[in-house]
Amino acid sequence: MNNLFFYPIIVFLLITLIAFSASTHAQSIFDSDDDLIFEPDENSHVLSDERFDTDSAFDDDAIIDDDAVFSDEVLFQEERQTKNEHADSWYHNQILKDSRFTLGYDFSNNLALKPSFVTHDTYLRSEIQTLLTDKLFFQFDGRTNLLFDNDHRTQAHNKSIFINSNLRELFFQMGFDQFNITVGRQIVVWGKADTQIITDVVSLRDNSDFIFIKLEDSRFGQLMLSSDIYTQWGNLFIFVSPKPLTDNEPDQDTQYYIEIPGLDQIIIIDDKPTYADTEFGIRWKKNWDKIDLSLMAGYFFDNTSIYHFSRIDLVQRKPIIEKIYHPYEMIGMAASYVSGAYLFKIETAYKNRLSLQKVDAVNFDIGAIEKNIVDIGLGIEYNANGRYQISGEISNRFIPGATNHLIFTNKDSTSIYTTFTKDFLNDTLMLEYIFFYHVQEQNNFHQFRLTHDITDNFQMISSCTFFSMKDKESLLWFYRNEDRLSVTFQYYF
Amino acid sequence: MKKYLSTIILSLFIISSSNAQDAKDIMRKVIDRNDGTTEISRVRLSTCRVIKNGQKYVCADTPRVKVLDMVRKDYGPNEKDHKSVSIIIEPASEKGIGFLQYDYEKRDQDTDQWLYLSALGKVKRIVSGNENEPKTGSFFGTEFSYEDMESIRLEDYSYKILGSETYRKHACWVIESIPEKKRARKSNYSKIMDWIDKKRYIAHKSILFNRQGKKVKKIYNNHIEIIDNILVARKILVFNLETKRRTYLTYEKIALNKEVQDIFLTQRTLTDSVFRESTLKKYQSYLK
Repeated sequence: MNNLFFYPIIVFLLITLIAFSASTHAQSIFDSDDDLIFEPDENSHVLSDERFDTDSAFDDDAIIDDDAVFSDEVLFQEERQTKNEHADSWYHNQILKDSRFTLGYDFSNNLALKPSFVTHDTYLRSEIQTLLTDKLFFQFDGRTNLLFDNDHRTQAHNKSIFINSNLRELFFQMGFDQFNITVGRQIVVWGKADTQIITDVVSLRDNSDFIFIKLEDSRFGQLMLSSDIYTQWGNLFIFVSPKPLTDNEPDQDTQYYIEIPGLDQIIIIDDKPTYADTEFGIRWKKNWDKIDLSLMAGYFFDNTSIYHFSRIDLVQRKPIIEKIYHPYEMIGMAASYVSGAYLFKIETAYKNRLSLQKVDAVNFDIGAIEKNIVDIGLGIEYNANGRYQISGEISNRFIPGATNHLIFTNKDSTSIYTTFTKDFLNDTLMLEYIFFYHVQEQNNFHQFRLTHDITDNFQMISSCTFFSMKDKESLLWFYRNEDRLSVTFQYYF
Repeated sequence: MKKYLSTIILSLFIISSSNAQDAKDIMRKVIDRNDGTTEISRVRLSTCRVIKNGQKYVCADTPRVKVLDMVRKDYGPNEKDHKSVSIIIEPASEKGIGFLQYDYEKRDQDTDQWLYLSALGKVKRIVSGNENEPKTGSFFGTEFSYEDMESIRLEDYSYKILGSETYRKHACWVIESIPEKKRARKSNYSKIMDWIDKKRYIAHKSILFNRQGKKVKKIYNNHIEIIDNILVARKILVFNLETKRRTYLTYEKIALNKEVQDIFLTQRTLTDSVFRESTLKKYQSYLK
């Protein structure tokens, strides 16, 4: 009796279970809105339509749009790809494939005094990075600028259009199992600091547009023979530069040129390093888990000059001042340690016999004083799990001994640099805020920069910079009225 | 009556506990499925905002496209530690940017990442973020988050079979994965539902639920092929239900279990141009 009573319940449960199981085969009961139908990725024609038939995620749902797969655009691309594959021209196949061109248009306005153009130019940059043979690599990076009549550099040259070119890099690299050898004009970047030059002393910089050139664009290469050697004890980099180049300073009469009163009464001779002035250095680098460490040493020629009184020109009856680039020795260290959301950085350098500018107005003694200097920088970066990033850096230069005849130089020179970065619009719009503060001089500037990738290859960069200069004795005082709005458009192809 | 009732209750208990065990076993097979000790690939990522045009979602704007050359190698006793190098080929504005990444199976070991910006000319250590809260950044600006690209640790989730159904002509288990407490703290998702192929132990579809329990993403694995004796989904679609954006990840070319030198998965590859290009050229000859 009891058994008869429970049999129907068990049968009912079984039937329900079977019905439930059957229903799941007919339509998803787990994803009620499973009606998403997408067009295929039109430009991806690598996976042919045949595959859609056999194992498409969407074949049940008729998601594939055959028209799209065989659209004109796709056919055109297939044709273009086929052409590329069958072209047997080495030039066509390789050099063009491995090239990148950037067409840029740039203008900026001074905001502090009466608004006026500062820069207004267009440029074409060409970059080639190509493997010529299995063991030989070639790299080229050059740029031609066309400056319009209202650009400060054109006006300084009294022209309606001014054209200049610069060669950033041109080198050949030969590869071997454990090392490579590079010959040509190359850029070398050392250290971890993003602002102050502590160990990053090898490559010269372009200062002709003051701080408005991005660091990555401001570096220039110089002729070098270098080698990277890879060992289990770390990586070594060695270089020799037979004729070191020096920083590009603002040309006379340009916006950022510092006008010294009575300059027309002086003859200035620029005594740049020659082939006899060889620069050389070595860096050792190793990574242990969360730590990256580099040690550097070298003999360098300063990238900035020191003014020396030479003699009186008897014909013109004017004093002759020589710009001399003095040698010095450096040993340095840079390290970083990452922990969770934080990156800690340290960089320090001891510069032996570094020359500083001396001006003794009473005795008309203009020349160099050699000092042994310690530069140090500490930094921290924080990543808020992709929401934003903050970084801070503090650096200091200490000059031992008396400093009373040194101009634009403090015994301690401390600067603070902070950045805030945030991405918007699916990483196509980046906002950067930069704040720089010099502790002793109390000078500071704020910079806001927006970088918008309008398309994959078209970019707009706009920035606004505001200066607040307090110290009339400082070099930055000359730039107190240089607040600037800059806009750059770049098209890559 | 008590006898029958206790029998039914016991049976249901056994069924549900064996179900839980089965779900974990199934997911173990999914996670441990051979994905090759090495992978050399050219990957294309295409992302756009979509709008509904009739029955179909179509791109509302020109898709953003990134093409990368990627090389990965697995390490460790379980081959769950990964080292990978990615070099951007397209778009032209980012060409030459390189990433080196080391992921570890060990739960508390942070990922190591280095970025090489060719414009800056130096290798920079990247801070990946705090491991105790969700990461919001996307993978190369796509709808894949870094979490979506991470390897799943079996023990980080509890599993349950919700049922079975045929999906795309394949018999599938529908499995629910709920992150354990520690994982939940740093995950963007409170629940994942996977449609697991009963024969091949590969997910055909996944639905991801945000921390508020709302459906946020659907991921579809397409073009499942056997390449070098390994099952590979060559085209993966992710659709973000909140942003109405989709990304196709396509393995345009791929080779698995080919020899990859350990030295290639170091910082040398980022900075030594001749080494990188000549080795990549050799590796790309394996691609299909």
